[in-house]
Amino acid sequence: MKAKISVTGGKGGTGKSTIAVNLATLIARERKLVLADLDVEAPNDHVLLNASLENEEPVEIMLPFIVYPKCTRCGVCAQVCDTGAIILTREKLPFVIPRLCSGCRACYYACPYDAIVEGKRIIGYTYKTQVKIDDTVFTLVTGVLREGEEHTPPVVLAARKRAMSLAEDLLLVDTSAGTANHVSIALEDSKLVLAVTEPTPLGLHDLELILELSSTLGLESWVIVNRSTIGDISKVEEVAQKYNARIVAKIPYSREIVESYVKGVPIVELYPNHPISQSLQALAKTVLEVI
Amino acid sequence: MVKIAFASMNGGGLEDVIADRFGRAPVFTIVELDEQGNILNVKVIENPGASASSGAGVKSVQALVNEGVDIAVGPNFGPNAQVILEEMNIKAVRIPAGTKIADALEKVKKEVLGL
Repeated sequence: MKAKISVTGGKGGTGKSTIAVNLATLIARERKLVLADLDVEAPNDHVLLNASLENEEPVEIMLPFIVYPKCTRCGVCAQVCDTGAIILTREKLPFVIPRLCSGCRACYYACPYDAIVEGKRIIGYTYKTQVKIDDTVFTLVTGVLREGEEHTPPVVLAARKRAMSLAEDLLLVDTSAGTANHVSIALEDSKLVLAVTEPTPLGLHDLELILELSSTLGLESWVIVNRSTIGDISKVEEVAQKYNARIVAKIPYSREIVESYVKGVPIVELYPNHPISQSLQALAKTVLEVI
Repeated sequence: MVKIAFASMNGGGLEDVIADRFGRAPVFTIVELDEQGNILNVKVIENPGASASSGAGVKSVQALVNEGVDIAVGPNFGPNAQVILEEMNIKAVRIPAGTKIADALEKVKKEVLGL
């Protein structure tokens, strides 16, 4: 892999995935690209690209099994468990609650009596799909957390690893909303972070959080203002300036982008001459120049 | 003899009220009754679930298991707490938040213990 670019933004629904699939389509015309959808709780790049999830691989984490004949009821396993996945019964026997277990192995290492053996549990899946839009081809890697599971990082890590092993040239990452642990894992090692926001109070608030995270990770950030016409953009400019992040694109609110959603075709393919497509083309060009 | 734990809003005790949530209640008021329903002891314990980053319900249940509680009273119970309470043989009883603990105790005595 030569370089990794990440699309993020803090607030949900700002258009991260829309920007990601459009940029992917444009960049893939010039370079070899892998797009990684690391929004494992709600991955939807494949929906926007009208592609199906293929080549499934399970994501497994360690699940402790208690060997009761060896257990002395010392309770150390429950003490070291950070997620509360081990409860001691009235008889002081450890009882594992699989859904709360993050697979960290602390109990396995802490047990002085080798009374814990390693089992496995599937908490999600990764997928690899060849996306073909006219003559443009790229690989989409998607991470999916299983319904009801709480621990996203192992699935993000597995999808990231699969995408990196497939990316010979460029890797474009689409993160989830927020600034949680699984977002920093997705952003790590990015050459460039593209923060998608919108000129609303919440968009602004979350932009500041994501720029703070990005700068903590020592990454360079650019800002993309989506729906730029719906609010006061000067405040976005202030926040961007504070973090030395330049605003590289302003994308107006438009009906055609909704149409591209409905059809499952990126707007840069559907309406190549639309002002939005033009600003995205300019953005892709700038990104490629820097990379 | 029976031990009843009430998820309590403030400092606990019979004059306190039922907390908004079970797993995140600041303290538990634990009332010990004899066979006739006379109060033998009232004690207040911290809820380790109140400050837990995750698995609050389970940590709360663990504290109650350690105390040998038979009945847990809260306004509602999270999915983890519900399953684990049942697994640990502790009966979950729902009484609305804001109810005075003394009144909640009477309700449990009458409706759950049949006293």
